[in-house]
Amino acid sequence: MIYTKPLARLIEEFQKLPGIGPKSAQRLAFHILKRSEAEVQGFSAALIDAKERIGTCSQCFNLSCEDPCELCANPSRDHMLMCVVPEPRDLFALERTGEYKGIYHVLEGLISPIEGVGPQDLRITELVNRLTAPTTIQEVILALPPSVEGDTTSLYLSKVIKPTGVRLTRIAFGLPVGGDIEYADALTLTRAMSGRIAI
Amino acid sequence: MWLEYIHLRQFRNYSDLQLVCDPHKNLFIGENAAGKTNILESIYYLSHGRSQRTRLDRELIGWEQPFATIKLQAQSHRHGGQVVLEAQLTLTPQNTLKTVFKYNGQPVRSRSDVVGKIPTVTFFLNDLQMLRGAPEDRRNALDSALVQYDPAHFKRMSAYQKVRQQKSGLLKQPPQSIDPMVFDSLNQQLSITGAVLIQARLDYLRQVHPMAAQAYARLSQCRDQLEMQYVSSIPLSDVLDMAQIQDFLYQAIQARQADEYRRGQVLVGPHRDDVQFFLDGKDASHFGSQGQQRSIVLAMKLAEIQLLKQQLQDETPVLLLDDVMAELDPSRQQMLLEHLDPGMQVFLTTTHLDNSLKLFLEGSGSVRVFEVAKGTVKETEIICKGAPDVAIASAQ
Repeated sequence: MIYTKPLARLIEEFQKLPGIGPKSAQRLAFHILKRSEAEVQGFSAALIDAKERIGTCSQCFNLSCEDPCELCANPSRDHMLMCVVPEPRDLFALERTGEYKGIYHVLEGLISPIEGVGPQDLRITELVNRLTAPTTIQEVILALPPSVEGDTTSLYLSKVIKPTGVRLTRIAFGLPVGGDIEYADALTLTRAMSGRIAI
Repeated sequence: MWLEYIHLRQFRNYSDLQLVCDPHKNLFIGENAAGKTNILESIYYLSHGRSQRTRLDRELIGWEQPFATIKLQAQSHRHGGQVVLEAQLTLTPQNTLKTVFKYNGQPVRSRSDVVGKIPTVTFFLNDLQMLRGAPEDRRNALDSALVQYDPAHFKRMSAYQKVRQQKSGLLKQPPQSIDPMVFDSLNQQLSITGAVLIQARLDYLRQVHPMAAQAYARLSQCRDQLEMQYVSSIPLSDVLDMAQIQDFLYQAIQARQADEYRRGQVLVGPHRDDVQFFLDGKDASHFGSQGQQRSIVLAMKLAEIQLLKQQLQDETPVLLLDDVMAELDPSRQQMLLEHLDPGMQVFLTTTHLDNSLKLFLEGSGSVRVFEVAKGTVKETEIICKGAPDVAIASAQ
């Protein structure tokens, strides 16, 4: 190997990260070496600190240092409205809109038999428990993607949530805002058509 | 629509092939395994978004090469001039395959965006055996024709395929660990995506049927009435709407649930359907003679061309004929060639020139003849006396 051992190891570690190929890994490693020792110490401390302190909220399974998390513990959020998302990053996307004021439930994945992911691997029992225990929740919004996995999970959830009597909705699918109709693909347009609303 | 230029790099046995095509007739002549079909395959690949020979795109890449590219340049009134389609297949260092498709130089989101841009009608050797073959052969023939007629069918098929893959993944598990509610959710989706597929196929057959029956009557010069019927796991009638097909399909899937659990396979759905052909009410795949069966296939192909032309606002599709001429008797050869639109561009491959082929080449319209041998293609002037304006261009 042309790299000295510690450098090779650093490159290897970077390459394990998602979306990082050999070239990017090498660039990142060289960049680390150029920075001051204090900066690198700070970086490595941030990694350890994040890993040690961040856990999941026992109610909504969002990433958090607190349990319950800031969102679940916040009394000014609307505790009658719950939004179900596949991953924490989807939760953050919804939070960025600033429009949604309810609480969340993170499934930690989607049902995908090919990848061996079944309902028991997701936070579905916990979701149903939150709805069957004495609860303030009146509506569950499914914010799941319009893919086979998202659709399967939605259909599955509708079967387990309907008996609880809680109102169940799924977010709308259609054209991206600011997009052109002529550039939309046929499948998106079909779904947008069937999901049309009265104005 | 006609192809003016083909450029293949590291595609199958061609390391770098550039071909200037004739707007009318292009004949590829060579021994078996010389690479004639590979040229048609490259056109098929960009027209259909997949190969007719393999499901594994990586097989298209030349032996021990890291990538392959196909570039087709065509002229089309419908698109107001030049259309350029490209496919780049690259093996990553992790040995996964990356495919990029381009339309007029711009990368497109998915391969479905190039499907149907260069419409083709294909007539390959195994099409002739379609009637005697497995249901899969007839289904594939129907879906390939349908994709050219309505490119949105490509997405319909892949939407259904994705659900089916998930369901077979589920059925691979031991029956006691299959969650019945997950199973039912997938069945619901299978009936939604499957119903769309079935309806598209029924619509297509309804349109192609009168044209094929007419073509068959012309070809056979007899009064045998050609009928065709879509065979499905659900009861079919003319008056079904989408919701009914969906309901029937869902019921049919549920009825076979125990079998599916036991065999671990997806047993019900449009991936199991079939098309049957009848001559005067008799099943042609059992009772038809070989000649009648070939005439039916020929009639279907002629109908396909006619319907596609209508759909393309009178633009003709490109016709790909792979080795079929040698398999047809002289009278059917002649009928095929006579019924071809004179303005239509044809690519044909053959191992030898016989008389009817010579007659066809000498007929109206310009010709280019290419000699194919072991990954090289040379334009030649062979035996085409009398052919007008045989252009000589170096096309290594």
